[in-house]
Amino acid sequence: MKNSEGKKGNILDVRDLVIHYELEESTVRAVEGMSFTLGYGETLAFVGETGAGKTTTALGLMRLVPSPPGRMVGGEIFFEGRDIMKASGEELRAIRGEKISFISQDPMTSLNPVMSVGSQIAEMVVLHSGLSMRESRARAEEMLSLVGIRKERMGDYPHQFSGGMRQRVLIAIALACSPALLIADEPTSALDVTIQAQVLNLMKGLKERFDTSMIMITHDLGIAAETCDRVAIIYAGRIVEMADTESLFTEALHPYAIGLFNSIPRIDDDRDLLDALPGLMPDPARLPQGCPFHPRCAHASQECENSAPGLEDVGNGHLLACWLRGKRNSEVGSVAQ
Amino acid sequence: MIEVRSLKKYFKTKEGMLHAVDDVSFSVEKGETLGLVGESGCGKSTLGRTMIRLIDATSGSVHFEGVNIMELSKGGMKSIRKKIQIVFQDPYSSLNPRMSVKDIIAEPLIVNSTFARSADRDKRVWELMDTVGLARRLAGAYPHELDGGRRQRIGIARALALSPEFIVLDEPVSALDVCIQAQILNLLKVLQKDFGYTYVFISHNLSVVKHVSTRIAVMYLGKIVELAGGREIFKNPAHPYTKALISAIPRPVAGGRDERIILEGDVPSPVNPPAGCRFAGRCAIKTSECEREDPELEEIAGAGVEGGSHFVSCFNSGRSAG
Repeated sequence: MKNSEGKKGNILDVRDLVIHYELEESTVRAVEGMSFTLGYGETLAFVGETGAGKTTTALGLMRLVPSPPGRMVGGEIFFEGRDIMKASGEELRAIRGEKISFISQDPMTSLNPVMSVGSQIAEMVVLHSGLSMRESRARAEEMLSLVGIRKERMGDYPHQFSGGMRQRVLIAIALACSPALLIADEPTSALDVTIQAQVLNLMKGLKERFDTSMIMITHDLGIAAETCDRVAIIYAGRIVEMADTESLFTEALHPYAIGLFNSIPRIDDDRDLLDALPGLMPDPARLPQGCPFHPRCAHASQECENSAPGLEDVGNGHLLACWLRGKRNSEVGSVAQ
Repeated sequence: MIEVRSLKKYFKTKEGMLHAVDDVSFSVEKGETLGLVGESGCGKSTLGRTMIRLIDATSGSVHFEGVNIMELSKGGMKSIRKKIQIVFQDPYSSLNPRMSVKDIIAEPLIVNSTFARSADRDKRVWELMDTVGLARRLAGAYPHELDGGRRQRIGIARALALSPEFIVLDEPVSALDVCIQAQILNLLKVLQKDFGYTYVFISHNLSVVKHVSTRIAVMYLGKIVELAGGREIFKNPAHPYTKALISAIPRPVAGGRDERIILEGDVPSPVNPPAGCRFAGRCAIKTSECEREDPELEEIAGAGVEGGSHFVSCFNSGRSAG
């Protein structure tokens, strides 16, 4: 069952991905040249605010961006060496669900309300594994108990479950075919903190058990710190900083990343006022010239207004898209402790 | 300033009585922020609305500056409402989409005939927009044209229009992204400093509540299970539920963290809750006493290294969660 046994290198390699939504009056540049890799067994966090392009990127990886108005403008996506951009509809259907699974934010709307949860898990197995219905139901029972739901509840419908339990059902469906890659889009945002802790704990355990690679989309830096190996900070459709969790959380370098850290209230500090970043994220239909962050950046120079910096290694695999890259963050203003 | 005594709010449902707020007592002092924290369905919003009589209580009293507002007539209530305001969670549905920003902020002034001349009223609206940081050029805009942060500023300006003394903030930043959230939290703090407002701040987010509150009340299934100063409750949480809640917050720091307390199961239904402590079903340190009797909210001695009183409703709070 192990996905990554004996496998080295990257399960996913994304280069210069560009995704636009073409509306009548304007073009929304949701994803503007995203490049990253994901290693076998690795968990990568996509952290950013609403509208940063996190979900569009995730949908793009499975070629699920609704079209129209969405359009995959350019770039390459290699999943286990196969070029997703060139895959046929049939190939894509075989990949989705079986090789790449998706857990959405909202457990209330992503389950079929008129189908028992057992059947929803079994359906997935039948479609992708070639097992018989009886075998698939046995697999569904096994998955339910793995996520901590008694098998007696196989015949129950989504409305009979609480939010946390529904999210567990979604996790059971997503992992039923032991996918190689799991994309979780804000899987716990709709849940209360104690339930969130249960679900994150469960996901962590199952990820290890199935040795799944994972992309975790979240706006919560705490979740990223606790569940992920590497973190990508996303702003206006681009990765502005990407590093392993340890170095990102000890020394964030991008002014936006530093701004994010400083704007969250923490239980371990007693600041009177938060250092709120001024302004708003730019409208993706009207991105500014140059670095998309420069209108809000306290350190912006003429160079930042003229051209956008690329994502470059500033040492030990710490990637940064900022013209200040040579300078230490102490010169830029550091994270409040 | 505000004394809440044995406040109850039950709702009738098909399955029986839903105990949304069940025998809650506390006070709010002038100029402080009392944080009400708890998970969805714990009754914190119902409590916030019942205590200012947006919904009528089943029983209990709320004294505002010495007057029991539960017994006031309609007219008496109207005059006291000028002093009591509320800001709602959802800046999308709590603003009338057919009214301009200026009209929304002016409405409480018109309803209460605060100004005889419209020029004076306009002046007050400009002043309020400046106070909450809304550019005057947005006066003619409609809510749908603005982002969530600006909409929440409109909701705050409207609440401030009548110069209230006491404001209930019901999840005012929950719908906002962290950067906007920080801007609004700062604004609320600055306003409190400048005008001496008293707040009840309702939120499910412990970090946010810790940041804004003088004292914090933790709610579970319609009851306050712990009440203490903001720093004290995080330093010395006494109730096993508070401990689990604090432990469940993901920390945005690299590496090591303490072993997390993970609660089993879900919050039980508030419809016909069982006898005994409401938390007993998920509690790691429960005893047979907890299943028979409901603990009262009592002051614990010897605690309070951070100053102020510390109340908890637990028979076994002296013992550790093991």
